[in-house]
Amino acid sequence: MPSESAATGAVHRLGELLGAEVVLPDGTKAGQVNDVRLAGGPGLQDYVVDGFVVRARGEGAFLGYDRRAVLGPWLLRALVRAANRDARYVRWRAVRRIDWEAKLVVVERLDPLEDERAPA
Amino acid sequence: MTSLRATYDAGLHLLDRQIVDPDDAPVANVDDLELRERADGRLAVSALLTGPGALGPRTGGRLGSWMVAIWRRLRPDADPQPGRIEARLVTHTDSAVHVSARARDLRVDGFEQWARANVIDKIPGAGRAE
Repeated sequence: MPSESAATGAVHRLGELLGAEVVLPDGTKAGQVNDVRLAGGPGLQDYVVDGFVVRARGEGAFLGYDRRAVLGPWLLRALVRAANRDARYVRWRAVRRIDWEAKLVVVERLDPLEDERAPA
Repeated sequence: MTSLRATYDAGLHLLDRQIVDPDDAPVANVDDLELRERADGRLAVSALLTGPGALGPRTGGRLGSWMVAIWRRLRPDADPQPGRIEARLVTHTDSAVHVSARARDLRVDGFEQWARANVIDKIPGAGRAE
């Protein structure tokens, strides 16, 4: 159970996760939650949080050009991806704890940022 | 028509998108998503949230606080809640988020309705407004 709120059915907002501090178990700061990846289906109500896109503090989302499935001018994509080569992804199973009050996510590890999957 | 994607980076693909009804009438913007903890601990999408009551907290800071404070002040109900559209009503997404219910049935424009009845309609000449 990664959340501190033990009660099942607790309701949160996506906005509470965006910008949350991401730290490793030893307290090392790894960045901030820049986006939340959802996966599942068939209906939107069946989508669950698959993981978090994590970036160093202050870096923007660059309109998605940093995520490889997004089409765009190749030069722009290349520049943005080079600037974001340290972007990371935290899979849900690597999330140890979410402290909603402190806006803090404690994670076991960070993986390279993966491509989004193609539309179904 | 594009169906739902295999994955959504929610901030990129859902937040701030226009919600439209089956007649392509605008409903509201996706100002936040409601996430509900399932029995297995996973966070599932339960609703789209709309209006200043959703956007203000997401914006944060002084601007977000002002947004919520003004919205609360102008709402007639004691404990106003943001507009809420069940996630199960989302049929597909493209540049917009399409829902199966009509805008008038979703009733997420409560502030607009209240402002129209209590402010706009009381302005002399408002009866002729289009």
